[in-house]
Amino acid sequence: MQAAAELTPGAPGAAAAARRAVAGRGLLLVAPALLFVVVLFLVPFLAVARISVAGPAVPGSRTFFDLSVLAPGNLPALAADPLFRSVLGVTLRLGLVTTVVCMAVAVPFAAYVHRARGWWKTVLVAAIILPKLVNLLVLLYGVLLILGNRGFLNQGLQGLGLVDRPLPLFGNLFAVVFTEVLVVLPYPLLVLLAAFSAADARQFDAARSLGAGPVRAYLETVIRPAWPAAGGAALITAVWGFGAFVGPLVLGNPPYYTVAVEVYTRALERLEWVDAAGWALLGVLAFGAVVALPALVVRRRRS
Amino acid sequence: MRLAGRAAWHLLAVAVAAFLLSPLVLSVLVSLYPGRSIGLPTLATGLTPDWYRIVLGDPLYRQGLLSSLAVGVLTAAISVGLGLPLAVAEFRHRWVRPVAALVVLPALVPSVVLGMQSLVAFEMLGLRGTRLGLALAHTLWGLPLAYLVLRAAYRRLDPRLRDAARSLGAGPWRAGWEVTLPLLVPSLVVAALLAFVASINELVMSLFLASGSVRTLPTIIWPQVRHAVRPDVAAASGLLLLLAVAAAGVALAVWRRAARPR
Repeated sequence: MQAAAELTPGAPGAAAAARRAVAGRGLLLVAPALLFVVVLFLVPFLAVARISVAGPAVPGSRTFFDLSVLAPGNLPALAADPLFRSVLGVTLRLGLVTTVVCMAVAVPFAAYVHRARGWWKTVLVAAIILPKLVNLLVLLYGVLLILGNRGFLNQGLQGLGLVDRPLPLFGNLFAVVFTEVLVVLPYPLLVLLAAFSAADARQFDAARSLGAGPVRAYLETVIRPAWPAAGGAALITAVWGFGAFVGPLVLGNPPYYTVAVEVYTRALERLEWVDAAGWALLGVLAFGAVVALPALVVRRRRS
Repeated sequence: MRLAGRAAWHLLAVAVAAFLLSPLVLSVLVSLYPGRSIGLPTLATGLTPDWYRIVLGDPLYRQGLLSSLAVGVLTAAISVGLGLPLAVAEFRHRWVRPVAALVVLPALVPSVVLGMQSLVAFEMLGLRGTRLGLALAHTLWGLPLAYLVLRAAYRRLDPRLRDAARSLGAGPWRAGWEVTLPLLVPSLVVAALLAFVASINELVMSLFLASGSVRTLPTIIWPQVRHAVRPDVAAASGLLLLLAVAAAGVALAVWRRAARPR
């Protein structure tokens, strides 16, 4: 429709009016979603930003912050706080470790699933999708059953006589990464699987007939074209690793608490909203910077 | 050597699949264990649905299940209702792209932050502790899902069908209603079910937004998981799993039927 309006020669006024009318209709279609995202996402985010520089709660009032105060010093003070720095460090490290482990598992496994056929492939795809349909709590419950001191893993190891005391599989980095990988892994797997499926099978055959071995042909015709998707998959993984909340809280100890956990305890348990808002804001900004930098570098190199 | 390599390759795949499935399988098994504490059923103990009966008879769990269902249905309806027009507009107008990117953005924000800011917003809007409030918050995730599914579906539509309707004299709304919408029904169902599943499984935002009278099932299970633990938690989780798998099964069936060549 737009193209038709542009193609009408000799009547610029009419064409412009038609284009405006079409754009107006577009606005009507977009307005509900736009209204939603502005009122329920952007404005609330700005409200949290405002709360982060508000004053502490006035005793006796019903709110947890005092908006009549503007204290921009809150944020630099928080950024210099050693606790905030160490928690941010833990969070970023956890996100990084989760991303690396996920991608190291996801690329070969997605390739395997892509090559699999028949019922075996159905089983594998179900194994990827099912955990995503399941409530996080179900997974967590299962992880507790596996890794706990009297969990199945320890019972098995003791039963086999491999260890005489339960291994500390719980409340440490291993447990947190185990959980996070479990929660996050389906995302990169699905993205990679979709990207691999987009590969043209004839290219693989062509590479083979030109003398490439099966592994090399696969790498060159399937894995390499999917590389941008792998970047996207890594980004999604990192986002989820950074937002980690339930895993660190239940399976980690305070040394593995992430920014998300700290925001939660400040907001809902200690009711320190100004502090919680500051943690949330600076955490999101720091993570945005960490994720955006490599993306910018990649884009610059391409253009 | 070659054989060993191939065996290792298969072994890796089996290990990853087992890793992904084991927590799920274990907690379902525990929910069927006929004892008073946590354990794995064996051939000697057999299986029992008792814990499910207890959960379904418990008023707190039942209320949570009802809230979860209501919020999930609302979330699905709002997500699709907002996502479909957006997907259509994005296809026709270039300027809509940044708006669409903005709509997807909440999916990249940690849910703790979304929960916190939603609580602030709902306090102002008077929606705190309502099912509508919970559904609107869940739509922050449901809408990106629904939008991405519907966008992909709308792009695959044959534009000639709509053009044919238009050239036969149908107005844009009538062509949309009588041609485009029926063709999109399978994708609409899939989008709605994805949003529904995301909603019934959502925990963190719900923790911020739930109130005494409106609590979803995950927020009721949560304190019990932390300090666990009787098999009733596993059974309550099992109910959520059943809901999600049923929703996914319907989505898959609808999809298969639509994809079948006619």
